[in-house]
Amino acid sequence: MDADEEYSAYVSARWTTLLRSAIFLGCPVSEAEDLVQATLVKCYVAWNKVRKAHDKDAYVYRVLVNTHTSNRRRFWGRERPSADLPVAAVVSDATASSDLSDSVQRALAGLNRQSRAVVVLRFFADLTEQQTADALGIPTGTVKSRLSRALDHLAEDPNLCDLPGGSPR
Amino acid sequence: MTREQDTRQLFQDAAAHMPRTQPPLEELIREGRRTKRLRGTALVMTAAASVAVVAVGGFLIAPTLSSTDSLAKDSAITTPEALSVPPGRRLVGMNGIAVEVPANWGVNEIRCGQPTRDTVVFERGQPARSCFLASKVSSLHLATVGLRFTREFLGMARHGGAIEDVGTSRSAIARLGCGGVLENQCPAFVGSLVVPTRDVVMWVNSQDRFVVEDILGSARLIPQGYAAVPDLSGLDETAATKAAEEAGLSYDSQCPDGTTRCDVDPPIQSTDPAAGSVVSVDTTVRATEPPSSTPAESVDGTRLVGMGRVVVTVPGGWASEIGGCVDLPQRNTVYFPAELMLTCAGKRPQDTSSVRFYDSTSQSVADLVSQAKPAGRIDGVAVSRIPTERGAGITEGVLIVPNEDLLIWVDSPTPSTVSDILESVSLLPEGLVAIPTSEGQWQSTREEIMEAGLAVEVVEVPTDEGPGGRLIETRPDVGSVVSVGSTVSLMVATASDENRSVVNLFHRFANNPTGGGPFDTPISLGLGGRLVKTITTEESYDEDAWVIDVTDYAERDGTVSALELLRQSDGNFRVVTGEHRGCPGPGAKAPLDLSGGGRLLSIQPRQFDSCIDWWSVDLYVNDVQQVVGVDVHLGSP
Repeated sequence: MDADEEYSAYVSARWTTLLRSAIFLGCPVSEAEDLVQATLVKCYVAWNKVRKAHDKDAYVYRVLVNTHTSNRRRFWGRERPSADLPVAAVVSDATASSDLSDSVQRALAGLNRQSRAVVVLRFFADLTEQQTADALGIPTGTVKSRLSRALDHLAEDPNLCDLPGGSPR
Repeated sequence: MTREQDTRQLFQDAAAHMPRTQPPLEELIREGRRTKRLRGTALVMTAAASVAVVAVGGFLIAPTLSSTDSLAKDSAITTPEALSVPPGRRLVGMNGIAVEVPANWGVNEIRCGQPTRDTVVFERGQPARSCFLASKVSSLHLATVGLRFTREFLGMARHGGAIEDVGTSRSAIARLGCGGVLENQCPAFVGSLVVPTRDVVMWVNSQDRFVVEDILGSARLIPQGYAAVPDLSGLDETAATKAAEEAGLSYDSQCPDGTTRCDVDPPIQSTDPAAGSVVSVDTTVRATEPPSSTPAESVDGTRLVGMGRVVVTVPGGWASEIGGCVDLPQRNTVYFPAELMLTCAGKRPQDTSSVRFYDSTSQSVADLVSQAKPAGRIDGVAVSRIPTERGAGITEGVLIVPNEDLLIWVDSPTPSTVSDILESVSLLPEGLVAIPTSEGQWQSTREEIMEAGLAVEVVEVPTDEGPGGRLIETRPDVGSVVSVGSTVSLMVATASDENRSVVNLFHRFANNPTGGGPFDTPISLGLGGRLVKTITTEESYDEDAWVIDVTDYAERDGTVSALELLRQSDGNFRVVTGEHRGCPGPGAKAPLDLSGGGRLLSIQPRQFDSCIDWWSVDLYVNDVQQVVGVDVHLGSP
């Protein structure tokens, strides 16, 4: 398999999970695809490194998290997000999420950025503790402690408590 | 169940409600390859930049410590944090909002509303469709919310934000909808930022999405005590003074040195500091002459225009036209007709003059050439002339430069105009050349321009008007004088999006005939405008049914297949509508038995070295977008 085929196979297999991870990481639905595309373009450019990496997924998620962070930094260095548009005429987002994913995202928004990344990579992207640690560039011990604290926090989150069968308690 | 399992399940359930899309694999790989190439260039540039910094650094270290200190203090005083930019970038803005752009970007470098290089554009009227832009050009557009066409950007900007206490909205960065054969020509990404309370709409077009991100991501408020220079171009002195004062600046309404044009109050062309520059409020803005882009822009309001090495001087306002009604100039015009013939009938406005450049070896001007008498030498080259004739209202003069195969015809209601122009004939020095053309034929114009030592870039302009494949204009204008080695853009008419979708379906079919194509059965197959056979839709699945014998056609042997031609082009083709030219020579429209009365879409290779490599697959398409006839044309050696 040549590099392009290998890349295509990888992207096809991971696209949906990467996209959803981006949303859980706090990226608006409308920008998640941009973020994942930017990530995958970077991975294409460095595909030799990705394929040689000890763990492809850890590498790619690391790029995703870093790109997400630097995007936020770049755009929000001077401009802050706000809930309201300054102009009245706004077209509604046709891809509005369901109540459940809204609740989950609201609950995740209650975590700090690092804890949120740990939870998403570990429980949604299904990375191992070691992979999560590699992706975020932190020791596995830190992954464990952040996970534990994050789960405590989520267990208390009112957004998740009221969901039928949805509480992580 | 453990908490971990619960959390996993929760994520899975929540994710199930999220949209599911397919990865844009081709785009990712193409973008990845392009980024790799750009990285290569960027690395070279960074290396060059570090050399420059070392060189400059060596110079800066030389002064004494105390002077370096005061330099640092000064810059601290004069540059608030919001005005600091990384090296190689500069701030441009309007109405109190500024963004960073690369320092080498121009200001209002547009023609017909379209950027001609990387530039900042202050929008005033209807913007050009971005897809028509010359390739590889990035641009930042600044407009006010009130302009009618900015609604599109207001609608796109759905993400609320704020810069300090000023509300903003921005769009996600989107791909422009101009795929298909135009993809390589199109600045593929657009992003916008709206600041309603400051009446600012800005958007960036670029093939590089990071250019869009970087510029829009650098938005900031211009601090108190500073202002962006408003765009004063096109304004008269009074309006400019008012606009500058509204922005908190002053305008120096004295005439620029050494010009007399102020007497007639000409509109301002450019300013110093340039439009958009962020300056302190005590700054005075002055009108300047724009820097001349080609040697043809002469200082005294005239310009050089010609063919090959031979040029004449005409007044600066004269137009250059490819084709058109040569006999009936509606304004003062320089023409480059293929041959001497009556082009249009009608009334010629009384006060128009024209210059025409003919190939003196053309049969159509042989009579004129034979009447000419030797008339001395210009720059060491012999010329001959036909005595100037003063007819009823119009004076005509002809000059021939035999060694350059050129005949220059001037006509004007003013005899002195004719003599002035003919007496201005000169030869260009080594290194300069006038952009040549063949009337209306972009393929041969391309060859001629390349022979003249210039580079050619073909820009497709989607249009359903007029014959497809025709040369609409060149940039710079045909006849303009440019340095050898510079690039000339040919604006070539090509098909609109609707027509292109039929072509895309046919292209897909060519790659996979068993998948079926957009056909109405039976399909007529032709060669060079002659019906060869008809096949049914069922037969069309069979590759062999498309093979046509080309013995005795275009001095060739063997067989050809429209599907094979398309496959070999690897998508690198252009689409033109209506009758088109062959290579070489005129094209031929297919008879009714082949065309079925359908409209003509021609698929032609984008790149070919000579006519022997040229081909055209002509699709005849009915009202419901089905192909009824396929006619293959091959170029002759």
